[in-house]
Amino acid sequence: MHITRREFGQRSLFTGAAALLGMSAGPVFADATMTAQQIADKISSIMGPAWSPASYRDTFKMGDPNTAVQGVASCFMSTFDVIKRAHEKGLNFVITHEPTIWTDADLLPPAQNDPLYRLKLEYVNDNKMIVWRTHDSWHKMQPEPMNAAQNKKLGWDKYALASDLRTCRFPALPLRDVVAQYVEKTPTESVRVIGNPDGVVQSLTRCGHSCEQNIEGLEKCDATVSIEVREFETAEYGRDLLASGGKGAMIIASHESGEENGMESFTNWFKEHLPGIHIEFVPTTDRLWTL
Amino acid sequence: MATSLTADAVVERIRSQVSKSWMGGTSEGFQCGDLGATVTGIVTAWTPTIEALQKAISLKHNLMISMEPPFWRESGTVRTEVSMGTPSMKVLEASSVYQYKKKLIDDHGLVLWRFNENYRALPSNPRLNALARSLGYQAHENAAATQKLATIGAGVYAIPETSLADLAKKARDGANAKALRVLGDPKEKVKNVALMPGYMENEDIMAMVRDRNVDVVVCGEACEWEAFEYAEDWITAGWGKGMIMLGRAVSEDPGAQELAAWIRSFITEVPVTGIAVGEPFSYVPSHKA
Repeated sequence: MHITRREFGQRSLFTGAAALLGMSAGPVFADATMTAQQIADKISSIMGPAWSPASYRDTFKMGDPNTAVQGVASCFMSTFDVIKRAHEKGLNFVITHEPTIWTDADLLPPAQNDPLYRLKLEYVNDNKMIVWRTHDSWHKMQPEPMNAAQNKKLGWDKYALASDLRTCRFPALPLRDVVAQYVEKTPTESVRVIGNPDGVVQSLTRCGHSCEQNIEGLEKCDATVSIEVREFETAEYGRDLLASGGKGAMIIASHESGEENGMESFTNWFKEHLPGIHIEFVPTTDRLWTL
Repeated sequence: MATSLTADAVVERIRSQVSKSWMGGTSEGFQCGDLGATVTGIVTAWTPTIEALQKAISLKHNLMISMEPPFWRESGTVRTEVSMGTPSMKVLEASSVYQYKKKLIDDHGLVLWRFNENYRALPSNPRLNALARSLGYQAHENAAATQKLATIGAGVYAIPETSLADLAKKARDGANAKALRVLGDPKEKVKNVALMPGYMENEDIMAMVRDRNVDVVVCGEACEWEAFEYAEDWITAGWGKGMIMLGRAVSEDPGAQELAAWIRSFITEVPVTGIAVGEPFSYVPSHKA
């Protein structure tokens, strides 16, 4: 098996993998013996004022926080697939942005008697893995990292307002061209548009998931980008906007496609602030397709 | 006028059809207009879009019966939807769309009544059956499995085996769901379908797949960190093969049109017209031209 020097350096962190390869464990970084709890504590202290101790989201979700960490997998969402791929890479501490057990607060009822929950939990426990979430705290970092990452990916950082990273002002372009730029840089098939493709867009704002934010966004900008909205409220408002003769457009993309690269930013942030702890970004990818 | 039928009287007749099983404390009720107004005709729609209201006006029907409220928000204290940020009245009143829609309703003397939970709970299950018919599943119903899901309004069907890709194509054509989204390997063979019109919550999908007798789940809409993530995990586990999200509106349109047929069975004095609102999306850029 050919392994590069860099891969060897990474693998040497994992005594198990090294033993399988018939090698000595090599130098073990002091941090490699940290527990998930110790790493989470370190992250929270580095995050400073952005750390949200009262958040019900940013907590441990599965596994024993006192488990020694072999490596960290950062991801948009701790799907079963992401957890499995993290394990296959020898990474036992999953840091996720989104829930693990299918509700915002990772509620045990109704999941606790569900066979799929038990399967996922057993996989995590059997493989001595730990899942921890950073959502609210990561969003509170300044400049807000999800929007900064989106602007950078789209090449829109030059258009973003310094006072509000969610909002961009462009040279006038037809909606279809703005959408084409978005789609080209966003690896998902799940982009749905409400608006006239020939309509002119000079300003655009990101609105999260909320109907209220979208209504306000459409009052002040030519277009909004939302990563997941509820259709009965927000998409229906967009439909009525067009029917009322209003100008405006909504670009509705999958949740994953809008935040995946913001968690890649988290990975880079982690490497910078916690050097010596091995971390890899594990892409979630929404895997949606259309016809 | 001897044949005068008020909006209030229409609602009373609907309630008496549902009879003693009428549930109170629901989201239902008058949304706009004068409930004493004489009804010239009834339109039904999943949600009273501006276009649906304009259609009602052109048909000279003044009573709109819909499953959703007109102003993109729950109008009372009862929540039937998982909102991701209900607009305040202050924000709504500042919106040109709100002003336009409200004026359209007021200027034409339209009366809007919401019929939702009690419609969904009808034992004849028109909301589910109408969608199952449009998708071509109804003749293949697994009645015993459907019965177990009665409380959530979902059904189970053993259709002739097909690929997930072909099932999705048939769903797109049957439901006019051009913006539908699919999860799973398109080549997988599927046979047992669980179907739920509307918004599928995580508890719904848990109930739909619990007996491990389903290959694919078809719904209107699902939250991407709830039932959608569950479906991803279900497929990863090898327990399921696919999930199709038709789009909320098109998953409700057949049921909303069936509502018109149901009302026609006991209201004959005025015309009753069902309207399909279609999907709200203008286009899907990933579609090949």
